Amino acid sequence: MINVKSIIDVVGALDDNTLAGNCYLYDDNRRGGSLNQGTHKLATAVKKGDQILWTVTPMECEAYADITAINVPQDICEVKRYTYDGTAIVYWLGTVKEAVDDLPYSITLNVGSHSFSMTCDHGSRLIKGNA
Amino acid sequence: MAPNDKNLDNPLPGQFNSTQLNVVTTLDVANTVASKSIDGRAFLMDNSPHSKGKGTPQLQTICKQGQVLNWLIYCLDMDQRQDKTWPPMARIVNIVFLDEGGEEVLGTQVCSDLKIYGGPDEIRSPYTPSYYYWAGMVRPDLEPGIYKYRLVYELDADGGGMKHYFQLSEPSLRVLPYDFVPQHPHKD
Repeated sequence: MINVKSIIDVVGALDDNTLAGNCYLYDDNRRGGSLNQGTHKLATAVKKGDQILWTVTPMECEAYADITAINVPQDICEVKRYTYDGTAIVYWLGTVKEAVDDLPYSITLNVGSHSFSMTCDHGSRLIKGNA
Repeated sequence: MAPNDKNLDNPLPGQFNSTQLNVVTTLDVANTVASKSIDGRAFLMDNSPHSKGKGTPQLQTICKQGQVLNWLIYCLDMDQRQDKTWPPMARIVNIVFLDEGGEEVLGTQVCSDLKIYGGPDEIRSPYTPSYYYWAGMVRPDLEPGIYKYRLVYELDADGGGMKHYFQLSEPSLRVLPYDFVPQHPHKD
């Protein structure tokens, strides 16, 4: 399984009215060929059959963020929303159905106490790795 | 609550309700001590959008099962004086949850790990920031409802000497189920 973690500067995002520059994406597949760790342009290397787990951490413990959508064609990567048992903490699981070459995708989030909807579509991608 | 049952053996049930809330008391320390009354001199505020009674001693904080709450104090007069002395400070020395009859119940039945945090022994150390605050986690299996609590404050006297104690017994928590979703999130 490949973990994709989004660290969101909630205050920055609400102040700038954009997630560009306020969204730090990481995954644990650098060895497989992922690029641009720690930026909003994270390119995650995947192959057919891989499972991907998307989670969000707000940068401040008093700030709120959750994922409302992973916007990717379902025939390439089928995604589903879950919550951890006994909590309202959201995670998304995806299964890569077809090999990808270079596929941009976006993550839609609720940001802040009033659940302002914002989308991080500034360069995150699924790419073919070097496996 | 059925959805939480299978988590009671989990050592960290509900600890992933990640957003922390702050409940802040703004307190006029010197005048409370001088007049021997806290009435009209303490104001409670929190950062939960739909709480009631913000700015008053009757603050009702809307929170969820499993949420962590931090209780802080801001003293109205906090800056070092020109003669290098410090104005008298105050701190919370106890938080006691009350049952419906106003009698005390153990705080751990409502909040777990309810205690002082922040390294208070190092207050005013020139080398490290430190804070004196209380925090606790609303138990994930707590029955949703309204829980009144008492804040007990210890106030220093200017120039040292005997400390003074005051309390507010009217704030409360309104605990919602962990998966509660407001009907109209942008309406207040």
